[in-house]
Amino acid sequence: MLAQSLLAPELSSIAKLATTTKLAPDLREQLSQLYSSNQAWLKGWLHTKLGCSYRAADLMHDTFMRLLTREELIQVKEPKAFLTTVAKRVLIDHWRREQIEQAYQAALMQMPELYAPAPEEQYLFLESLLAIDKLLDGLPVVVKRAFLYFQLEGLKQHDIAEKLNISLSTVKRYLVQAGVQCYFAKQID
Amino acid sequence: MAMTNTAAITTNKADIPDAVARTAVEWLLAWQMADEPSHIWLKICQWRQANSINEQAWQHIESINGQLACLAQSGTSHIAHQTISSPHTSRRQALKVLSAFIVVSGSSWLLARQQPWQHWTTDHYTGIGQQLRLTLEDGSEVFLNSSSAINIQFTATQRRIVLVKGEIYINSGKDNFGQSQFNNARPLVVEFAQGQAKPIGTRFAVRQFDNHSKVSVYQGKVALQGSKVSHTVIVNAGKQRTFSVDNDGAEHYGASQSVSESEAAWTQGMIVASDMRLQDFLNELSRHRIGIIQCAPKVADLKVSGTYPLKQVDKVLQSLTAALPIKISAFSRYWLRVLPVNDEY
Repeated sequence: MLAQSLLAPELSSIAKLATTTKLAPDLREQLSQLYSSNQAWLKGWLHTKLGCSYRAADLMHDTFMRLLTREELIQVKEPKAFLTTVAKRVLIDHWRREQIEQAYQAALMQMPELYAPAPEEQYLFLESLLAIDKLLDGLPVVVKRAFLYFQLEGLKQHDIAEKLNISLSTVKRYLVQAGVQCYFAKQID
Repeated sequence: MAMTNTAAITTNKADIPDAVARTAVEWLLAWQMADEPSHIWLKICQWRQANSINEQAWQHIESINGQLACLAQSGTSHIAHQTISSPHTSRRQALKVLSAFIVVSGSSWLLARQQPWQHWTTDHYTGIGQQLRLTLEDGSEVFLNSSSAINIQFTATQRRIVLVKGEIYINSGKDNFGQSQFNNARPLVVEFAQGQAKPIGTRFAVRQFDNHSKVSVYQGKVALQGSKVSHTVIVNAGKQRTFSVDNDGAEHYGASQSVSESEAAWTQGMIVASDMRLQDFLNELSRHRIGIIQCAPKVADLKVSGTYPLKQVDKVLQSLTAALPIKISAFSRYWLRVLPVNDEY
């Protein structure tokens, strides 16, 4: 239902956003050209990946939205390859979101007592979960867990060492590694 | 998390030098681990004031800590922990899988089978209640029934369709690509969990069950072959056969049975029943509707005849109550029971 309601305004909202956001005129021109000559094709490509035309329309929309938030001109020699690359990222976010939502629902079911946050609370929680998950993506699970024990659950360094069966200095190293990636999107060895 | 300064973030986090980023994180940890945090906090304030880049780095940390604080509320922090650290495939791995499907679609269906998102990464799939009709590049028509998934791998030497789940109906086309370039047509092969089917100019359907498959041939013939041996069985027009492989790898072909065109009525969005057991009819219907449809044993053997639209399963069920001595009781929208009309429950 949601997908359906988003489908109709998709075209007008892209056009509107392109004119209302502070985009440089040449960038706006480039984007609307990219859109008009490739949107049908891109939607078709997404459809083959998703098997659902409503979701394909949604994600096609997301792909162009992502381009709208960029500020510099894009060097597009191969528009299809370029759009596929961006759309792949959108697809992966979409799948990860479904995974996270499932994991969240599973975790909720395991709660000892009846714990039922309101839908809007769940939504906000999920948004934050996705954001942090994305920031920590690519780190080894044990590094993620050290970070989450410390920053989310407030465990002491030596409790974390015990839980993860690693040394105190390793805990410290993991916390720095996770912190640098999470706060600054940088990888350190 | 103390938020003392709310100066705007003007420096992109990618532009914060690595050394500054690292120092900022080390200060944060020293502060969080300290027995006397106020002492460290003073030093942090000095460090931030020393340089605008330092201040910017600290702002980045605080903006993300705001998000972490939202997850760390009492009672929910371990849900967040469990969710984020649950075993899963990372973005990078997902990207690899996705690229693999686009670039080398050779044997990637094996991988797809083991991935949790097996349907998402297939070329075409349908949800429950959906159907899909495709025309392939060789002109073959493929119908996907409810809750089915396939991959299509056309190469220079063969046309391969991998049935990952569910049921497909194929009206195979003539391959011109192969004839012009390699002097012979590329064979069409439908691969499924237990083996493969090679049609010879034909209309046929393949359905994948949990532990066996069924091939129904409406026109022409199909060569059925297990994945482990070379033994081939020919299924002729108007016939269908099941095929399974047991745990020891032994293959079992079911007896050849006749099949009527009406079994393929789903390709027209219909189900055609002719003296069909109610239980069997409901099993077919429930493939097209999310949820469970249970049938009481007392009415399971009642006979159903007629042509019904698959798009309106609920209406079909209603019409059945007018024709048969049954009633429908709903525990919920997703759990229906079909009972004798005089049943008290």
